[in-house]
Amino acid sequence: MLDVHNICVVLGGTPIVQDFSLQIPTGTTTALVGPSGSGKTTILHAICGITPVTSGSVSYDGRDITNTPIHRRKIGMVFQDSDLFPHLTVWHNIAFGLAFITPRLGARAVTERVQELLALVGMETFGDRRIDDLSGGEQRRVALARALAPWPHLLLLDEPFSALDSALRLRLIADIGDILSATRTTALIVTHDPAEAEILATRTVSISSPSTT
Amino acid sequence: MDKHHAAMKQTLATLRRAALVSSVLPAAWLIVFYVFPLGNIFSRALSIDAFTDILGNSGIRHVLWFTMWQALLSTALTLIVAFPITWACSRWQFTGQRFVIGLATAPFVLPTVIVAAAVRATLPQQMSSGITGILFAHVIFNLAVVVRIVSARWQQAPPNTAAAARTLGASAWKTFWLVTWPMIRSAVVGAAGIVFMFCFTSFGVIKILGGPRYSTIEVEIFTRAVQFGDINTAVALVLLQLIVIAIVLGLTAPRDEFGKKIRVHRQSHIRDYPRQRRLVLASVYATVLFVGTPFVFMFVSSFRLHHRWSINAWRHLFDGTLDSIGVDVARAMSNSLFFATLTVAITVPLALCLACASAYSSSPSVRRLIAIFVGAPLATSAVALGLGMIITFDQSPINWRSHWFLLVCAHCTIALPLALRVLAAPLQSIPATLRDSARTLGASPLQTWRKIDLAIIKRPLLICAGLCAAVSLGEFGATSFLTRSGNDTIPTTIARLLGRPGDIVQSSGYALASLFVLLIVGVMSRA
Repeated sequence: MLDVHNICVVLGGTPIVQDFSLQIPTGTTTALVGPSGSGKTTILHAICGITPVTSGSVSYDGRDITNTPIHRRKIGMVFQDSDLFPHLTVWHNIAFGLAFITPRLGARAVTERVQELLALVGMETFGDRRIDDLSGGEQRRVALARALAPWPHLLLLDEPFSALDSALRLRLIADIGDILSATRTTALIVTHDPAEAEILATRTVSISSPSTT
Repeated sequence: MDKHHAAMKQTLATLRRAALVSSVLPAAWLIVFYVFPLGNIFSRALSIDAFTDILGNSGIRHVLWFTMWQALLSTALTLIVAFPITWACSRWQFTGQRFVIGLATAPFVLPTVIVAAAVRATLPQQMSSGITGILFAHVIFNLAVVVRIVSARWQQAPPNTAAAARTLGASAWKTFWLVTWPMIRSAVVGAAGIVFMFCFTSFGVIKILGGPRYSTIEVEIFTRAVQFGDINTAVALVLLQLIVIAIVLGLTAPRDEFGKKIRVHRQSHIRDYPRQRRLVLASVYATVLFVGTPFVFMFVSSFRLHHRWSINAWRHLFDGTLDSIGVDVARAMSNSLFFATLTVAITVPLALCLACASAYSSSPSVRRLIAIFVGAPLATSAVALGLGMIITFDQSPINWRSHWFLLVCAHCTIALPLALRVLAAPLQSIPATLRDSARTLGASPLQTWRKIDLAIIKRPLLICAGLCAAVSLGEFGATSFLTRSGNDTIPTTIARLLGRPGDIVQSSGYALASLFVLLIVGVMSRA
């Protein structure tokens, strides 16, 4: 279980998050809903370690990970703009995180995992494609597959459906919902749309500005 | 409505025609003062045996070998020294950032002679001429190239891609190597190519710090042409140097693989990231010390005479003491200011004509052509240009060889590419709708240009003028070739002072160099 306890984040002298607490039971999907500027993204960045917390603590399964370096937290993240590696193909983007797993995975295991994830996101034939050649929806799918690849304890999704047209958005919401429940991944989704939260999450947490619950 | 459309299209067409007509003047200038001299060098080098002879001369082979390895080592050291501050300035926001970037960039706008003088004042006497000083000066001078070029690209790399790599389990080092490096590699290689070019064609630094032992191709060209009168060997060396530079710049030209998707990203303030703060602070302090210390030493050295504090070195600059060694500082200063004024008066209008031709052209290939044609002098060593001018303009009816005007022509030719870069970008960025609005309000094409374009680029014009003045004031390579008795400029005077033995002369050299730094800072800050 993820336990975020009374965290505060101050950036540039401005408090962005104040005394925010949250618990996410293992295997569930929680949605964090709030208006723009309420600090949702900062909370995700604080949980995975990109942004340091000023006070408070983050622990996973009872282990305090507040000061654990980002790469040792085993928390996957899907960024708002996907932020795929532009110099790598789809296949290498997904395989990226598998290179850092200990004990080291063999080439065959890596291939199997990448193929499994490509199939999971419905992009079996896209392995050799360059990132530039993908549509917005395809990029989101690859970003999801990339984040899921190294079997993270927790998956954070930051506005995964923003800037997509409504038809694609609805299809992707359904697909991601299916993928999360099929992989039984513990997930925290940030969105400003309560309808998205209702479809995807087992629990919804609302925040105001600056973020407190 | 159609009438309006036609009028607006006509505005741009009129401006385009006027710009193309006016660009004939700068084109003619470059043909006369760049293409002819360079062409003359090529025709001589291709028609003589000196080109094959130089490779058989063991002395010149030694010079070639030294030029190559010192340039490679200087480039490698510049990249290493520049890396921490480039990272800090690209990735983080911190108090004093503009000052640090300004300080790191300042030596680049100073003449190489001044940088060399500062390094010489810093190093202990036994190291004041030799490879340590040469490398030190090259690194200080070229730091700006790496910081500017690489940080411009690094700032465009989305920070979240690096964060994504970290969340996928990559350590900070692996993240840099696998994610950041591929995005900045092309900029680093491009910057390395430019640094190599500057170090390979180093002249002022070697003249001051090389002593009798060290000589680069550039210095050898000067020595052969001016001291030995061996123009054939000098010309062959120029050609050889141009070939090496062309190959290196061709191999290291930046490629924009991910350019189209990239934009400048907001940096995080370092005070929010305690772990990285120490590294950023260390990079900042190290850079400030590395770049600033030599100039402080130079200033302090100007007040040291016979191991005592004294203001005599400054007094001797203007009291006639230095006349006995043929140095007239007041004359050199007035010459420098006169040449700089003329350079500004000629170069700014020429650059404006070219910038308009480039900005109003609808064809990207015309823009590229202008950039390549006008940019060529940047990739040509100043000494080569000086030599080309000497051998071209030495016969009646254009025997300007000993005329000061040739010196101004060289300064203008060297400043023109830089001036064009300053003016072209702001002109290109003016939205066409502004001109359209002016036209709908009744302005003629000429009034539109004056009230919109000229008004908007007023500040870039000032910067351009400042830059041209700085180039002229600091030019040393071509000036060394073209200067004659009575035409000395400040940089050639500093070189003469530092090239002579004696405490008074040396300290006066440092005093004049310090005065010159203040002058350049004054000119640039006004712009």
